[in-house]
Amino acid sequence: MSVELIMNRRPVTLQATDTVAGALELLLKHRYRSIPIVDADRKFIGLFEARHLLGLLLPKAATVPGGLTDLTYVHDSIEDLRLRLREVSGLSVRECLENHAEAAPESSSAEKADDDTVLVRPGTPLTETLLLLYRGRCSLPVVDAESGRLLGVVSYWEVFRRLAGKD
Amino acid sequence: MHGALTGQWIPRVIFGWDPLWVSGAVFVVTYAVIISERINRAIVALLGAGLMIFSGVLNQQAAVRGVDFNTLGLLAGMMVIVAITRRCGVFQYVAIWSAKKVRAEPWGILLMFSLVTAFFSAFLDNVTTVLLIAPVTLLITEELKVNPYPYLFSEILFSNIGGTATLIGDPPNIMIGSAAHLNFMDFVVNLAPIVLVIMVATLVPIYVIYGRRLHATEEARGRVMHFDEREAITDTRLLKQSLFVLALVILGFMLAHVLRVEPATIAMFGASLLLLLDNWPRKAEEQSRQVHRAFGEVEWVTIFFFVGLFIVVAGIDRSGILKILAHHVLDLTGDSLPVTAMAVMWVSAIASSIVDNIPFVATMIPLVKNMGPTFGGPDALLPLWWALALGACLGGNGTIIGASANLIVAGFSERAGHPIRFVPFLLQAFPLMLFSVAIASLYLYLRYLS
Repeated sequence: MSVELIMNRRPVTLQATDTVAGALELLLKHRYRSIPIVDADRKFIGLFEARHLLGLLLPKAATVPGGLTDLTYVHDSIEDLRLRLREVSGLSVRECLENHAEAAPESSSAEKADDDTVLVRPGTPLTETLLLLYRGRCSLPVVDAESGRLLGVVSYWEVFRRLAGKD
Repeated sequence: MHGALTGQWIPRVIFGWDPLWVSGAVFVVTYAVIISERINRAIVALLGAGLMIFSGVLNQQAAVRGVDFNTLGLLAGMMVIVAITRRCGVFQYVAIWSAKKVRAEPWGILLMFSLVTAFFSAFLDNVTTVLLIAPVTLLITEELKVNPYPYLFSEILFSNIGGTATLIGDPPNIMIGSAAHLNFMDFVVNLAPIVLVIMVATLVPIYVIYGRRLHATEEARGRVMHFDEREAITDTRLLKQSLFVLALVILGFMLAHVLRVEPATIAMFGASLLLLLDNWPRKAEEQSRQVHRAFGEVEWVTIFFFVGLFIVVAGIDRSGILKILAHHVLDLTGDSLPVTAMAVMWVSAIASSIVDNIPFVATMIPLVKNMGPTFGGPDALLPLWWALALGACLGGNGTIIGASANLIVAGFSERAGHPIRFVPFLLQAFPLMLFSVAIASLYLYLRYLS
C-alpha cells in the first residue's frame, strides 16, 4: 500500500506571497502544525511550520547551528515578543522559509525540497511513510516527482483514521 | 626535538634517487595541496607522511620519532578539559556579567568582549573561545539592535592577540615551547607584556572606526540589563569541579619546570582528573556515554593533521634540506641575529596571514634549530623563537583565512545573516596586523637585540 491511497487530497495551502500574519491565522484556526506552500501552478515550494514562526520570535543567536544551547538567562516579556511578531508579520512565508533554510541544520532522510522539508512521492510505501512520521514529522507533503506539484498531505491523523477504519 | 629525534635512520630512497629531491618534492606537493584546500588537510598530511616512508626517506621508527607527542598530548588534554567545562555555562556567565558591568553600553560591551576573548584565548584554544563568545555576542547585539560586525571583527583580532601570550594559547606556541624547551612562565614573562601593549594599541583604532558610532536605546540596554547571568550556570557542581581542575592545570603549567614534567602530562592528567570528578557518582553505562562524548569533542582532524605534518617535516629535516635552507637564510641575513630575527618575524606574519600557521611553524622550528651553531648554541636562539611565536600568532589577523578562529567566526556570522567578506576584512585587519607586528618588532629589538 502506498501513501497515495490514504493522503488528504485537499489540504489547506498557502501561497508564496502570503504573509506570516496570514499563516499564523491559518495555523491557529485549523490547529495545524504545518501548512504546505504552493505557487499559482500548485507547484510545491515548501512547508511552513509552526516552529518557523517560533524561530522568528527567538534570537538568531540560538537558532543558527553552533549557536546558544539555552536561553535560561534571557527574560523577554510577552510585550517584547509581541513587538517582535509585529516586526516579522509582514514577511512573506517564502522569505520566512528562506531565512530558516539558511540557518537550518542538514536533515538526512528521504527527499528534500529547497529547505529541510522531508517530502514523499505518491508511490512511497506506507511503512516508509510511518517511519518518517515516527521520526518527528507531523505531516508530509506528497509531491509529484515530474511536475513538482503538490498532490496531497499525509499526517498521522490520516494513518490513524485508516487504521481505525474511520475513513 | 624534531631534528634530533629522527635518529640514526639513513635514508634509502627507492630507485637510488636523491633523498633531498624526493623529500623536497613530497613536502612541496603536500603543502601545495594543503594550501589549495581542495582535500581535507588531515588526509593530505597523512598521505604525505606515508609517502615519506614508502619512498624510503624515513622508516616508521624515524617517522614516529619525528612526531611531537608533547604537542599532541597538550592539545588533546586541553580539548577534553574545555569540552567538559563549557557544559556548565561559565563562559556565558562571564560574557553576560561583563556586559552588565558596563551597563550594557555598546562600546563598553565591545571593549569587555574583546578583553574576555583575549583572556580566554590565552588559556584555551582560540577556536573554542570564539565558538563560545560569538553566539553570546550575537544575542546581545540583537537585543541592543546594533550591528554585530564590529564586535565579531574585534573578537577575531583579540582571540589571535590573546592566544599569543601563553604557551597554551595558540598551537604555534605549543609547538615552539615543546621543541625549544620553553615553559609556560617563559612565554608569560617574554610575550604577555607586549601582548598587553598590542591589545591597547589595537583598541584605539577600533574605537575610532567603530566604537564612537555605536549607540543603543535605553530600552534595548534595559533588556540586556535584565539578563540574569546566574541562570547561565547550568551545573553548579560541574562549575566548581571545572574551575578547580583548570586552576590546578594552570598552576601545573606555571610550576612545570620545578615539577620536571612536560605540559602534555599536566594537560592529560588534568583531563583525566576532570573526567573522574565528572563521572564519579554515575553508573557504568552512563560513564561510558559521558567519556565517549568528552573524547568525541577532541578535534581529531587537527590531531591527525599534526601527526602527518610532523612526519613530513621530519622527512625534509632528515634529508638535510632544512640545514641547507638555514644556511641560505643566514647568508641572506649576513649571519646577523637582529636581521635574522626581524626576517623570521615578518616572514612568519605575512605567511601566517595567508596560510595556516601550523604547517608554517612546523617547518620553521627545525629551520631555526639548524641556525643554532651559527649563533652559538640553543640559548642564543631565544629571540628567534619569540620572533617566530609573535609573527606566526599575530599574522593570523591579516586576513579572514589567516587562522581557524577567523573562519569559525566568519562561518557563524554568515549563518546568522551577517557575512564577513574577504576584502573589507582585509582592508581593516591587515593594516592592524602590520601595526601589531611593528610594535612587536620594536619590543624584540629593544629587549633582546640591542
